[in-house]
Parts: sequence; structure tokens; C-alpha cells
Amino acid sequence: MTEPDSTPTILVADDEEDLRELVTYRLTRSGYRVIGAGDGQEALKLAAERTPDLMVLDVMMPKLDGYELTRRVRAEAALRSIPVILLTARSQESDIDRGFEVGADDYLKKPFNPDELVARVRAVLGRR
Amino acid sequence: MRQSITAQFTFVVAVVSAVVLAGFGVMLIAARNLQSADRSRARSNTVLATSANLEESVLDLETGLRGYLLAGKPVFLEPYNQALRRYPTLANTLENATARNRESHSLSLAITAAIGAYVNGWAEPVIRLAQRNLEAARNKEAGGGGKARVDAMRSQFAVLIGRETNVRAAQVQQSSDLAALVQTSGIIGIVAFAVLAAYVSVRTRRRLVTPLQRLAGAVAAVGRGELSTRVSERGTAEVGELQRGFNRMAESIERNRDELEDHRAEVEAQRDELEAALTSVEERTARIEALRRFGDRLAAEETVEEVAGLTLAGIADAGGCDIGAAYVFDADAGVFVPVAWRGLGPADLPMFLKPGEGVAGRALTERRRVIVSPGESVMQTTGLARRLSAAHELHLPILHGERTIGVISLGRLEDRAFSDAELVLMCDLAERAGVDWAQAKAARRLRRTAEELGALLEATDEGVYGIDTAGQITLINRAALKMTGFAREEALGHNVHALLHHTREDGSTYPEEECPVFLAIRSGEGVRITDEVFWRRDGSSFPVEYSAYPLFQEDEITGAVVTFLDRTARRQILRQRDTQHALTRVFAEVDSLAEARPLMLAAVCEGLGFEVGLTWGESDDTGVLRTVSTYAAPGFEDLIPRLGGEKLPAAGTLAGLALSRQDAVICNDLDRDPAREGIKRDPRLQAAIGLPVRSRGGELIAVAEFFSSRPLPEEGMVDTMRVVGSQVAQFVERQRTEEEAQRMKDQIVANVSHELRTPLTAIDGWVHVLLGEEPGPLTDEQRRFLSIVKRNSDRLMRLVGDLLVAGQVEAGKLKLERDDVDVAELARETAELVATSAQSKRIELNVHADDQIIVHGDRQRLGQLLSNLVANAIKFTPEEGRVDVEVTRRNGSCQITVRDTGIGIPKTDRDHLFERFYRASTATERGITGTGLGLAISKAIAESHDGTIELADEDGPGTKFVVELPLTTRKEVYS
Repeated sequence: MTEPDSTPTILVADDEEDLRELVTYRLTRSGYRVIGAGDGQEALKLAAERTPDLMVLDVMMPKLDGYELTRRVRAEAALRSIPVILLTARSQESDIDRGFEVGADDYLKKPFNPDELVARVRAVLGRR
Repeated sequence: MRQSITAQFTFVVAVVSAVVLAGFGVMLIAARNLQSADRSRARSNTVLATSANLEESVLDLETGLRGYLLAGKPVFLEPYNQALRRYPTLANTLENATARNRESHSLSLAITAAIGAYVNGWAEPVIRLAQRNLEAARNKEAGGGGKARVDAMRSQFAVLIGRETNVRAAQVQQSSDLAALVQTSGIIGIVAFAVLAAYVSVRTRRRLVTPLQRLAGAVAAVGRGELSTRVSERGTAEVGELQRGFNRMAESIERNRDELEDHRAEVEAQRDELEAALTSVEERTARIEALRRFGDRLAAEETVEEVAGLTLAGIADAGGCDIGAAYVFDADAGVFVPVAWRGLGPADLPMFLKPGEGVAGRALTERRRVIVSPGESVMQTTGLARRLSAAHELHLPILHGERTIGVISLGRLEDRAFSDAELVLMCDLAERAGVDWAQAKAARRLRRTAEELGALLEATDEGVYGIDTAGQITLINRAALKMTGFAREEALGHNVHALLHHTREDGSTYPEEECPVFLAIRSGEGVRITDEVFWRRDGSSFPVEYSAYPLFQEDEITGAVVTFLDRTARRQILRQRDTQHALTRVFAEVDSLAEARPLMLAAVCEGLGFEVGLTWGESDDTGVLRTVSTYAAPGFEDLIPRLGGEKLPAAGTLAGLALSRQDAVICNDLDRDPAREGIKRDPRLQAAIGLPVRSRGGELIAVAEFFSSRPLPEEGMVDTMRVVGSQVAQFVERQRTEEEAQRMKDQIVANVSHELRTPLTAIDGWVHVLLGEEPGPLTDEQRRFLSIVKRNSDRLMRLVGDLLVAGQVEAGKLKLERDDVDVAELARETAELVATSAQSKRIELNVHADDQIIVHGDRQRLGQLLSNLVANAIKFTPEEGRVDVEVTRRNGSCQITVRDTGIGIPKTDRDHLFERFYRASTATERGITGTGLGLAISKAIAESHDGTIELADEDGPGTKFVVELPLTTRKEVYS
């Protein structure tokens, strides 16, 4: 929480409040600014308003699921370059493939180790 | 050697004729010369006369000229001018008359030339001079030039006239000499002729006439019967021959007469004998005639009974029999049965005869006649009348070759034995009848066979026709007429190829010389064809299978018989079967409907022979179809875009028609498709079929259009398409169900997985966070983290519980551990459990419960029921909503009501709401997660407690579930 501008902002979207809170808590503790969204639509709205540096999206969300949300983000010129990490309770290969097809940068299967999430976030941000 | 009369005559006549001819020849020549001399004399006269006239003209010329000169007046020139006009004619005449005498002719020419010279060289110049100068002319004349010229001419005339006068005198002398010669020759000829005539007359009489007269007399004598007359043979030459010939003839006649006389006596002797023989021939002829008539009448009859009756009557009449019976062999029974009788009735006759039994039986066994007379009555007359007793009986077997066909038994009441003549006639008649009996029997067999064959022919479903070598139909059965649509009279006598077989299936002309039927007639070998078509009267065709066999009559082919079957149904069945097999293969090989669609279309098109196929599905726009898949045979690919791009209006198109009729539709007139104008002009497309494919529930799966380059048969095709359509529909339905089941399974797995992983993730994650904290007493925040862990652990527990119950319900082994349970208390506890979730969504959760409502049940399961309902209510209620839980006693039962202000449940979902894994559309649409197990378990729990659970109809938004459980009375309590 030094310079507001240098702190990456991460959008976390999950309808499960307990998980959202968990991710938010862990990322915040690692020094990121986190904004949360309870469903896909809210997440898209927030992304357009705040242009986060990264998005952590749950796949199974009401109104707009993680895949569709990612696709829309990738279709939007202003948001296109924001990295996306998908959190998925699904584990079949086809689900993972689908995630990459729509443009996700990485994914994590539930249940996941919060430290691993932080490591991946860091890695994806470092790639830019 | 004597000369013949003919030779002598010929010689004498020839000599005399020569003399006569010579005389007349001389006379003719003299007469001709005389004529010529006369013509010469006439010419001399002309010359003389003309010369005189010409000389006179010359004088006129000279005189006229002199007069003119003297008088000086032109009138005196008249004689000159007249002479000048006469001159050309006269000069011409003179030249012609002297043409035959060279000397006279040159004289004539000199004279005429001199006259010309005088006129032109003298007279005319003088006249012209006189007209100018008369005096000069007179002087010139006076010179005497003219006179000299005239004088010269006159001397020329004198020479000519003198010469011609001499000529004429000589000719007169010659004429008189010739006349004398003619006269002499004529006299000599006449005298010679007279001498010849006299000689011939005398010779003829002496040598010819007299002997002939004698011969004539002798002939007349022979004619009168004087056969000994002879003539003298002294005659010479031919007459002698004649006389000798006559004498030989007369001798011969005399000899013959004597022989004839001897013969006549002999003939007289034989005549009596002949007359006797003739009488017997007449009798025989009459008998033969009777036999012939009998035979004719028999031949005219057809049935065995008629022939037998006639035989009996004929023989009985011939033998004067009063009673009689005819028996014929009955092959079926092996005995002889009576078929005709006379003078008695069937009651008098035995039912049947057996060979060897009775007299008639003996006749049969011995194959010869048996006569029974009163005196020699060997046995009782079995075989004839039982009642009447005949004095004489005759039993005649009717034989044909080796066979014994029947027997005729005859009886005569009068005691008069059969005469030999009667017996012979009767036996002859019986013998003669054998042939006809055999024929009648054979005819009966044939007739029966023919009737059976005819009935068979008409009864069979196979078409049969017969043709002669020209191909004309000679017979045709009912089945053939039915199949082809022709009336019998329209077929008989007509060329079968032109009638039924004129065109091949592909529409090309079928030349008669290539027709296998005619090939069979030509080759004498039968043929069998399975893949051609016949044409009906109405112009349609049908596939046939036919066999043609040539018909022989004594090694000669007389035509053919053809049997055929309509293969429409069979062909259709085969095609249908093949197509169904092809479809089944497709079904077995594909993994998904999407993969199956083009393969199914290809299988149907290839199996049923369509060149182009398209399937259409409903599109978002009403009344517009969209392409699902297409098929085109090689060479037809270009038609696909023309038959419809992505979309096709349903109205008016074949697909639309099939949809509205809800059945396969055949269209043999593509012109009627308004949406596809270009199609009708393409010769590759002739017909099409539209086929709607619907599920059993009536849902449209697709509508297909199949295009064919050939006209489509109506018969069977629609049925086939229906079968194919229903097969495809069944597959699609099954495949859809399977795919749906698979999809649902995947969804369930995903849902359950999500439901398991989500709380696990929360627990795991928060525990991870807590473990990462510094050790020490719990902070408030950490305590909050732990409550999150607890909440998620509860959720996980609930889910595991649900899954366990679901497993038990599935296995039918839901176990209850019953006890007295206070449902009101349970409701309050449940509310506390879910309070945090309600609070996080700011949902007002109220519980209205009586103090204590005891139900005998499983506490854990009932708690599960309540928490499922309440948790659901909270889950499906948006933030700041309200959930009410009410537990009351009502009508002897415990009623639990859970009501929320949530999104509600659509009516369409209500029927399936309590099914396992079923999730309401409102939930899935909003992405609200869940397993779809809660309500199913709740229902199972309620029902296992003899209770019910219902979704109450609510007018407003929200949902209300009502559970009723039976209340426990003390008596009912059991452990």
C-alpha cells in the first residue's frame, strides 16, 4: 500500500462469498488491491470501470459464467489485454481446454492452495 | 424301173411351161420397146413445132424492128415486143424437148443463144438509137447487119428441123417392127398351152382315175359286209401301193370278225355270273354305309354317356333287340358301371359289373362276344335284366387296342336266334364304336384337364400370356390383365411388345428385335428376366420378373408363353430393406447426431436411388426452413445451391407441403414449386418426395426432400418413405435421449463436483490461511474465519447426507431411526443453522411454530428435510427478501410450510421438480448452483414418514412448499 498507482488491482469474481472473501483476503495480504464481484455481470461492469491489472474469475457464476465473461473481456478492446485466471470446480480436460479457448491465461482447480493462487497471480503479472 | 406318176407329170409340165413363158417374155419386151419409141416420136413432134414457133418469133422481131424504123412510130414495135415476150417460154420448151439428144440439144442451145445475141447486141441498141436519132438508126439498119444475123438463124433452124424430121421417120419404122414381134410371140405361147392341157387330161384319166374308181367300188363292197372283196394289184407306183394296202386291210378285218364271234359266245356265258355278284356287292355297300353313318353319328357325340347311348341304340336297332344296356369302365372305382339302357330302367341293372362275373363279365374277360340262347343257357343272365327274361342275349365287349373300355349287353325277347348277318353287323358296329368310346373317354379326361388348367391359369396371381411367332397375344389370364389394366379384347390379337414392353425403364425405346421374349422364340431357349418393366394401359410402368418359354409343335416353334410377376412390392421391399440396413449401419457407427445427419441422408438417397437430397429444419423465422444437410450424387452437385441455399420458405414448396400434410408427398411435377423456379427446367430432375420426420411426440425433427431423375412410382414409395422416416425418427429420438442423458450426467457430475468442491475449497483455503497466521490466542478475525470453515463444513456435511440418502432412496433402502421428534423445535434449530446465509443476503427469516409438535420419525432425516427446504428458499430468494417457516397442527397432522419471495418455479418445471437431479429452469438460467437432489430427498423423507410434500399454487411471486406429516398418538408409538 505504498503508491496507489504502482499497486496492481485485481478483480475477483465469485458468487460464493466465502471463497471470494478468502481470495480477497489472501491477495490483499500479498499486497494487491482487490475489488470483488458476486456475479459475472457485476464483474464485467467493474472491469470496464476500473480496468484491473488481472482478473480471477470463478467459472460457475450466476448471470454470466467465467467462460462467457472471459470471452467478452477478450472482445472488448479496452479490456483485451487484462490477464485472466479461471477458478474451476470442473476438472475435465474439455473444461480446461474451453478456458484457454476463450482466452484465459491460467486456471486453478478447486480446491486450491491460496498460496499457489498468489504465486500464479504473480507469475501472470510478471509475464506482462 | 417305172417312173412314178408324179415325176412324169412334173417333167412334162416344166417343158411346156418354159415354152409358154419364153413366148410371153419376148412379147412383153417388144411391147415395152414399142412404148418407148412412141414417147420419142412425141418428143420429135414437140421439137419440130417449137422450132417453127421460134423461127416465126425471130421473123416477128425482125419485121417489128424494121417497121418501127420505117414508120418511126412506136406502135410498129408491137410485133417485136410480143415476140420478145414469147421467146423465154419457147426457148425453154425447145431445150427440154431436145435434152435426150445431144446433137439436137446443142443446136437448140446455139439457136437460143443467137436469138439472145440478136436482141441484145443488135435490136435493142438500134431501137435506143432510133429514139434519139431515127435517121442514124435507119442508116444502121440499112447497113444489113440485122438481116445477116436473121439469115444465119434461119439456116440454123433449117438444120434442126431437118434433123428432127429424120429422127421421127426412123422411129415410126421401129414401132411397126415391134408390133409384129408381139403378135408372133403371143400366138406361139397360146398354141403351146393348148398342147400341154390336152396331154395332162389324157394321162390322168388312164393312170389315176380308173384304178381309184375300182378301189372305191371295193371299199363300198367291204362296207356292205363283203369281206372277201379284193382288187387287182396291177396299178403302178402310188396307186399300186394303195391297192395292196386295201387288200391287206380287208384280210385283217375278215380274220378279226371270226375271232369276235367266238368271244361273244363266251361273254354271254359270263353275264349271269356277274349279275349274281353285283347283288352281294350292293348289300355290302349298304352295310358299310350303315357303319359309316353310325361312325359319323358317334364321332359327333362328345360325352361317354352320349357315345354309349348311341352305340347301344345303333347295335340294338341293327340286331332287332328289345332290351339292352351299355357299361363303361370307371377307372376311379375299377368296375364297369351302366351309363345307357333301352327297354328297361336302371333299377333293372346291376350297380356295376366286374370282369369275369356273369355273362357280360365273361365277355369282358374273354374280350369277345358271348351269345346266350334259351337252349344253351349256361347261367343266369347276370349283366342284363333281372326282371325281364330275354330269349336270346348277346354281350359285346367294346375294345380299343389292348384296353377293354366297356360292354354292350343286348336281349331279344322273341325266340328268334341272331342270324349270322345280324351278328356280323352288330360285331362290326361294336368294333367301330370302340374308337369313339376311347376318344370320348380321352376327351373327358382332356376336358377335365383343360378345365383344371384354365381354372389354375385364372386363379394364379402370376400374369400369364401366350403369343404366336409374330408376337400377337393368343391367350392372357386374369392376373395379367389386372396387372396391366387392359381388357381381354384389347390384348388378344395385339402385338405384346407394342402393348406392354415398348419402352425401357429409363424411357428409351425398346426395339422388338432386342426383346428377350422374341429372342426365346428365335433361339428356342427359355429366358428369365428380373430387372425390366412392363407398361400399363394408363402409361405407367411397373417392374417385372418374367420367364418366356418357346412353344413347340412337332419341332417347330409356334410361339411362346410368358409368365410374369409384378415386382413393385418386392423391389420396394428390397430397396427398403437395403436402405434400412444402411441406416442401421450408420446408427451403429456414429457418435453423435451431428455426425449422423449427412450419413443418414446419403444412406437414404443411395438406397432408394435419389440423386439429390436435402433436409430442412425449422428456423427462428416462422415459415422459413433452414438447411440441415445435403446430399448430391456425382454430377448433381451443382443442383444443391439451386434447390435452396441456407433458407427456404415453407409455403408452396414440397417441404412445406409435406409438413402441412404431415405425410410423405410425391411430386411428379416439379413445375409446381414456386420457390425454385429454375428446377423445373432442369431435365435431370423429374420427380421428388417430401418427407416430414417427426418424433413420437409430434416434434419436428426435420423435413427431407429427395429429388429423382426418374418419375417416381406412387405405389409403395410413400410406404417406404414412411418406414424410413419413422426409422430415422426413432434413431434421432433415441440418440437425442442418449445425448441428453449424457449431457445431464455430465451436468450432474459437474454440479455435484461443484457443490463438493466449493465448501471444500473454502474450508481448505481458510484453514490454510489460519495455519499461516502467527500462533497465539484467536483473534476476532480468526474466529470469523473459523465460523466460515464451520459453515462450509456444515454445508459439506449436508451435501454428503443428501448424497447418502439419495443412494439409499435409489436402492430402496432408506433407513429411519425413529424417535419422538419435536418438529417445532427442529424448525427453530434449522433456522439458526442457516441464519448466517440469510443474513449475508439480508433475507428476513421468520419461524412460526407451536410449542411442541411431536412426530414419530427420524430426527436427522426430518432435520435434513427442513434444512433443504429452508436453504433452498434462501438460495432462490434475492437479497432483502423474506422466508417464512411455519409449523402447525392441522387436521391431525403436522404441517410445515416454507414460503419465500424468491424467483418462483415455472409451471413447466413442476412435474419434474421432485425428480432426482432435476433442476428448475429458473435456477439453471440464473447460474444458481446445486445438485438437484434436495427436493427429491425431501420427498423421499416425507413419504417414508407416511407424509406428503407439495408445491402449493401461489398467485404471487415466490414459492411455497407444504409438508404434512402424521402426528404421533401415544398408542401408535413404537420403537
